[in-house]
Amino acid sequence: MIDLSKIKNALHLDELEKIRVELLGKNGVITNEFKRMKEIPNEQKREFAKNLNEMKEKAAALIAQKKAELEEKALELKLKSEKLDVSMFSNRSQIGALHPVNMTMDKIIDFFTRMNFSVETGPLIEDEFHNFEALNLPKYHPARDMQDTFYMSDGTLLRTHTSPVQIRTMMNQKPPIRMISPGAVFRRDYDLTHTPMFHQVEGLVVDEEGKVSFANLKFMLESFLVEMFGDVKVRFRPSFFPFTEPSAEADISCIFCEGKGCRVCSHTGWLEVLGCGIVDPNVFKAVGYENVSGYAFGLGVERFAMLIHRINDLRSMYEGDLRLMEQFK
Amino acid sequence: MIVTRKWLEEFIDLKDFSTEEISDGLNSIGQEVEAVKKIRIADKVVVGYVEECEKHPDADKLNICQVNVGSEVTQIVCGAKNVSKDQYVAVSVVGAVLPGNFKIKKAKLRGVESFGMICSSTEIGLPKLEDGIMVLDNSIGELEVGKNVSEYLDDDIIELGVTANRGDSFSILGIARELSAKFNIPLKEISAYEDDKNAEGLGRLFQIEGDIDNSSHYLKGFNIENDNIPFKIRYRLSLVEEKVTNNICDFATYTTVATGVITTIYDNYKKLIFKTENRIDVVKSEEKIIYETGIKMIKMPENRLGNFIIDTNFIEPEIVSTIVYETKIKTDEIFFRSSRGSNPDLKLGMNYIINELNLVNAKIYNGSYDLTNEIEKKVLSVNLEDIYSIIGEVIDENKIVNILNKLQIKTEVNSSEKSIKLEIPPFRHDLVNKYDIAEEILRVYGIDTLTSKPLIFAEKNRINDTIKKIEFLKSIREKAVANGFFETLHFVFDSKERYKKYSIPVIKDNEDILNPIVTELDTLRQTTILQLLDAASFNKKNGYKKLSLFTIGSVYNELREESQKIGFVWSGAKYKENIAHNKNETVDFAFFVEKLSSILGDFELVEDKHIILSHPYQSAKVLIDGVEVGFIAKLHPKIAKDFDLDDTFIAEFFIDSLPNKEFKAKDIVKIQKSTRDLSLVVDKNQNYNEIKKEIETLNIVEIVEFYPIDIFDLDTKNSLTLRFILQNSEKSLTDEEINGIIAQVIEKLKELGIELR
Repeated sequence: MIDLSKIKNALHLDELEKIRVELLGKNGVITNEFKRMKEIPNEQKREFAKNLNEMKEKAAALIAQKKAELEEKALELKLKSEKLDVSMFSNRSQIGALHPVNMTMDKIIDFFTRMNFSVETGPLIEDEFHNFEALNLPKYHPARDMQDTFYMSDGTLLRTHTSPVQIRTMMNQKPPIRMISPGAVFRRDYDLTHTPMFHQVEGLVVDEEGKVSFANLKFMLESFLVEMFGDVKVRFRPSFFPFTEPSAEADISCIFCEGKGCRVCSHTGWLEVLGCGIVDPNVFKAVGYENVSGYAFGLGVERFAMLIHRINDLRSMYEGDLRLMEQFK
Repeated sequence: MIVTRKWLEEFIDLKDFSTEEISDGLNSIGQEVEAVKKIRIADKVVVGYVEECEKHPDADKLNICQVNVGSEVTQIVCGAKNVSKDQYVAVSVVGAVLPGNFKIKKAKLRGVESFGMICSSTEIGLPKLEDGIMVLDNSIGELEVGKNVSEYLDDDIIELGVTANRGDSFSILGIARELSAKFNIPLKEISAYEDDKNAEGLGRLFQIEGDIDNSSHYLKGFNIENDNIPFKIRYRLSLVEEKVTNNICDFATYTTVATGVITTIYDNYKKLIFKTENRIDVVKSEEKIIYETGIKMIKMPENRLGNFIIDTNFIEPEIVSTIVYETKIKTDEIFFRSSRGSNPDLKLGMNYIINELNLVNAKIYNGSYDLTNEIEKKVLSVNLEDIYSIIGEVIDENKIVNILNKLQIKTEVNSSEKSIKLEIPPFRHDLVNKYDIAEEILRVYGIDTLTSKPLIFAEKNRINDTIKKIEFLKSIREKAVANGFFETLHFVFDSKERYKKYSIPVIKDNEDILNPIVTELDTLRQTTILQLLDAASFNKKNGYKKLSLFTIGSVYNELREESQKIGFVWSGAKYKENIAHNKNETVDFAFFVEKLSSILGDFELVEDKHIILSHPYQSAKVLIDGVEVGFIAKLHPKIAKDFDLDDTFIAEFFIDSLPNKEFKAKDIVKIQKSTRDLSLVVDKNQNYNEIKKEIETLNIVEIVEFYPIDIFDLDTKNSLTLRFILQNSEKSLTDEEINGIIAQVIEKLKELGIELR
């Protein structure tokens, strides 16, 4: 009798193929049985053929089934052999990072452009008129001391704030104006908490006389500071800037101690973050504007970046220090 | 400006307010409190009276004192030179704990027992007042032996950041005035001095002569026979960090700080000449200048006792500032006050100093010289509607009047016109227009009380080229980050010396920075590369191996024209080491170019040996659509060595030359593309660009693109394999057609002497 149990016991695909050839190949056992047909008496032929065909089909079916089974097993083995320790591939990005000051600048620009402000820029080398005089900083003002300003040998200077862009914009455009001007500014100061170059964002809104009020300024800056620092309290303290009147400084409740008082906020619970005010009439006079009203504000981007990202060392930001930058991936 | 609570209380009654409430109040009206310091003298430091003082028998420098400390007379050995009999002193008795946890114990000094310590000011935590021990007197209150010194000296110090426009607040009186407005408490009067008709006349002391243009002076004279400056004056001046001279000048400084009236004291010159010389109002004696009004004290009094002249004086801040600015004359601390606006109430200043002098029994001469210019009354009329629109809120009229009156601004309301006529007090130099008045109202009203309101405005398209450029740059920056670069930030300053060293042209001296902060930052940069190399070098020292940085910023050419560049540096390893990249592969030209292409898009490289800082045989101009936009190069190995870097690649591009492409799609051709590779034998120094141009001259539309895919050494020549992608937009190309095209290419390349391999 033909033994089909071998099929079931086959362990490998090779072995199974060998069995298939043994059974169904040209010289296979079953093939050879068919060859015996002519020896079978006629009356038994029908029965013999029927049995043999059944046998052949059964063998083929068993082989196919076993083959699928063994293939699946082989694949399983192969997959198993490909096993990786995926945990070794954690946290290995090859990307770089944006600079925290520029990231902060981007965020500030995003806020104000969404509030329908335009973005304006101006040259870093400025003249006395745009940097000082037009901003109600007369020649004898203490802020114009040689101590603070980088002068060029031809009498020009490196802008000490982004405010000259306000003047340029007002002189080139007509009200209404809603603008911010981000950029680098320069002061002659270099120590732990000062770098000779840093970044500011200046804002200016000008509209008809009687239209723009301190209450409007307060609304805009409160929205802005909450957007930048999250859920903070905002307070305004009256202050003084030559180019605004009334002037104020805006504080946020300390983000480190939530207003309880800590080293960073000098135990006051508040952090000073920007200066602002109603545009002084002398500024409008300098650019030839009449019957207008406006507000202006200015902030230091490095200070924002340091507070938002909890960076303690100002100077490390200008050294390209990867120990710092890597943390912003 | 520093004020002390006790000094303030001379001018205003603050007993209902804690120091915390006072500082909060000051903050809320725009007098920024920078620090609050509390002076608290330790327990068991008591007032003592030196009854006996003898030299120590065995030590020249020591004195044996018998000191009455109230409960007893105790023996104290004291090393101070200035200790003597009949002094009131601060005594730390046994058991006292002084600052620095210094415990006072019974001691034996060279065999003599000592029960405590006679203290100097610094030993009990005060500023230094004099050499040796601190000698007290009744100026700080009737001294009672045995009483704690803290009762006399404890005080709270408030440090204020007074803004430059508020000259009126640079005095104790000025801050008292602010508190009076904030808390609605009246100011105390400074008692006026009445001349003693029997006293000797001022004319007997000195005469005056001449006239001056800009300033006011009010003069009196006095005689003093005691050269001890009262303790209170020296102590308070030291607390507010003013200079203590221990001579008659302390009276003048004390008065100036207290009242804001500039007060100067001169020796007893027989004749004072007032004259305007070179625009400066000077006080002279004979030919010598004693004082430049509001600018500088030239000749301090030299005498300690006898007759002196007091001069309370004033000059308009704008006048004195302009003169100083234009004449570049040297100034002292007097100018700090006069330029911000000192108190013009000269008689008030005079009353104050005379009251202090009377306390030390000075004799005041009868009469005065008055060189006062009449100060014009400043009157201002403001419309209430204007005030409301500046502030953005309607504030009750009575409230406004009340605020202004508290600030000593006299008001007259015109109800029908809704306006107020204001008379500005002479010490408020800063109040000139309605905006200033709005600020006064707002600061006392409280900005925090004000309701925020959104501005209603007309829509306008405010998208301009600047924001488009910022957004374009942002996309480049983000791609740079995705390709492994870290963004850095650098000063636009660089060192002229190293620019010269690396043969980079510099700005002409007469256009360069006049007052650089350090010599390493004495010119404006022309390139960002050197600073990127600094940063790479810095990070390498910190152990980083993959140094890939970029920066964007302004640079200047030799003509000092500003433009913006984006610079890239990649030095050392290609990858941050990890399980997959552990073979220390170092960056090469192909890798660097591929990274930059992934950021900027495809570009063409053209050999250029003259690029700054570069390896002459691995350097290229970068062209995009035929326009030069920058360079890519290997850093010259000599320079790499200067920065202590290994193989380093650099690139820099002009931002304004980089195209911000708008993509326009062509119809997709669905016909199958064919590929053919062509292996060529080329000369070693054959430039690929020439091959490329040669093939392009054929202008065969079916060649969609071609590019080198392999190059290798064949002894004297190179083997170069080019891949051609071919496609016809209408039909598939037959082999024959393809062979025909390739044959044309081969034929063309023969002109360059290039053969098939």
